[in-house]
Amino acid sequence: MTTDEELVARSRGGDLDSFNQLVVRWERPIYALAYRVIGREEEARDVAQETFLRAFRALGGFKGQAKFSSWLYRITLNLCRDWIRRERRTPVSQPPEGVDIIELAGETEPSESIEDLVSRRELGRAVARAMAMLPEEQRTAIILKEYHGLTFQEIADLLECPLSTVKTRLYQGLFVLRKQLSDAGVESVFGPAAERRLRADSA
Amino acid sequence: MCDKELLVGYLYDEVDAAERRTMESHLLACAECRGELKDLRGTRTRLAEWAPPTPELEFQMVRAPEAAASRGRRWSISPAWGLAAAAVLVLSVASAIANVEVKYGPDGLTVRTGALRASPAQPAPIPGAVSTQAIAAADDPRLRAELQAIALRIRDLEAGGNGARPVLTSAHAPATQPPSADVLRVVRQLISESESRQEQELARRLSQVLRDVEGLRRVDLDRVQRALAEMQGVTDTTIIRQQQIENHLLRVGQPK
Repeated sequence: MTTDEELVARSRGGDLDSFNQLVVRWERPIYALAYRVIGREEEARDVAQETFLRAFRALGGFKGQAKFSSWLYRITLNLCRDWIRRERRTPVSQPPEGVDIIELAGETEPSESIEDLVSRRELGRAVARAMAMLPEEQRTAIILKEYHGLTFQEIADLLECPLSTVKTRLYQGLFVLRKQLSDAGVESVFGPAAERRLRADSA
Repeated sequence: MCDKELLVGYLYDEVDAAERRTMESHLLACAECRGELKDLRGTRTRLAEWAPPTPELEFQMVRAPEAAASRGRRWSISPAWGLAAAAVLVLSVASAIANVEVKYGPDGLTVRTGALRASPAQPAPIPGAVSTQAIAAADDPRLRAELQAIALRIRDLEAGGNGARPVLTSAHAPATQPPSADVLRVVRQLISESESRQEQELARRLSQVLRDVEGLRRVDLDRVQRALAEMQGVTDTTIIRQQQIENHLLRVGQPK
């Protein structure tokens, strides 16, 4: 598989197809990042698109000091910050309202009951709400660590803060989340079923 | 001593061997940290449930040279000589047009008929030696005078008429008896000589225009190449493939 570095080099030489390959490779993670930071679907889509436009225009100045993905993430986070400041309100995630039982019936795993699945959907919403209540700095650090697998050092470089600050933000964020979720009736029990699902998700 | 940063590092499995040993021996001794670690792991499994929606994305960068031109960007290309190519085509078909002025300037290509004033630099029209002889050969002096008048009228029309084909109408011809076959022959000769003079003039102007167009096309191509070189590093959502546009320019610019 062609590396990001190779595709970037070709894009800088004017090869549009190579840049589009990079877009295809990174559009989902970029969208996911924007969505979780902002909490809005349409705006996240706009931010993702704008990220690639800016990256395209600034290709001439990107000399490969950092990873291409890190560079993209930085652009996205800046755009998200700008959006949040413009809107001047904390983002509230808007998960789909209501639960379609028929749809859910097709989604259950063999060992899972409908109740479990409904709980899972509710859980997603509860997490979204809890995350939305975190301060932007903690929320961003958790998103980068939990959903994008960045190392502490990579997060520190991206957010331009010390390594220990990253760890502190993660700890404080998780601490608050645990309390929020427990208040919302979500047990943070690390049991065998949860462990299985966690392993399956990261596979 | 409960080091929360170490706890987080251990939670995410980002610790070196020494840190790991420190943490694990601490956990054996500290129930609070054991409990907290278990809670944080539970929270992490909950976080894993939060998936974003999956909309249709499929962003792609596209080439749109027409869009670039219409937005009037600095490097958009609007070759004026393209019009010249079309105009040249028109001129080459209408060979009977008299008094054609062809100009290629900053405003583009202008073609005017009938508004021409003979400039000193232009070569004099070919003297109608044959027709003079033909006129002189006419026996009747009045006929001779009429033929002269016709010849002069034709010259007039070539020099500064209204651009219409110099056709002898009854309004111009002297109102005498119906012209004889000889007269008709001479008149036809006069007309055909006039036409060939005009065609030569037109051909001369056409070749001049083509030379101008060629020069301008080269200038345009230079501009294009320079603009494209500027664009190499800094681009927008539209990109123009250099080779494509050069080929297009070369195709359109071929003289017919």
